Amino acid sequence: MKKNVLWISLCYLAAGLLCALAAALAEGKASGLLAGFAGAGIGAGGVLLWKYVYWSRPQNAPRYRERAQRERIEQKDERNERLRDKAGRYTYLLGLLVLALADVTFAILDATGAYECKGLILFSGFLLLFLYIAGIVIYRRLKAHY
Amino acid sequence: MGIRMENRIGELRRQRKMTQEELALATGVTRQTIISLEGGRYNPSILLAHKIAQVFDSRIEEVFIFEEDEA
Repeated sequence: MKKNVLWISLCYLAAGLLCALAAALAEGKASGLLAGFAGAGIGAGGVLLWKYVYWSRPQNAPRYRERAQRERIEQKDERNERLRDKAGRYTYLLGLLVLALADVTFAILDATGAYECKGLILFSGFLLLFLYIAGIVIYRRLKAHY
Repeated sequence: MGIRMENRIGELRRQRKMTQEELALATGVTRQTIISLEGGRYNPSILLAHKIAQVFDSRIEEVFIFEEDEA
């Protein structure tokens, strides 16, 4: 396994431990938030470090090479790439639809006085517009490049 | 009038007593891709078509057959 996996895992662990220390010293909601970050950092770092140690053992080297080759093929397989692109497109369209519906729902809730959500209306509206424009801009750039 | 493509990948593979897994490894794709190719559900890129033809020591036209579709 690549050495940078070791350094990344140690970074995650260090960040997690720092957050844990900060959580212990902080008060109120900040303490809870920092404890969450600490858990994420220590958990992710620990798992990555265990994986690095396990797959770096000499007896696991042949199995790791086979696994790495299989992963490389899965990643670069052209059919998988095409399917991933298609899935991305469908997810993008679905996301736009869900955001549009959410925006309308928030507007109705706000207008009827059931729930005040002007902030949510603005945020979801902005996100919808951003995703729509980003889709057009990225498409035009890809078209010009290829 | 469209163009239909069929392939002889399954036939050529069995002639050479190769498994789908072996063909997949030789061409750098997954076994699922070979299955889709043989089933006619997926059309390969020109690069992959070339690799497959090389593995069978044939020309692309001998592996992939193009027929005009009279609609």
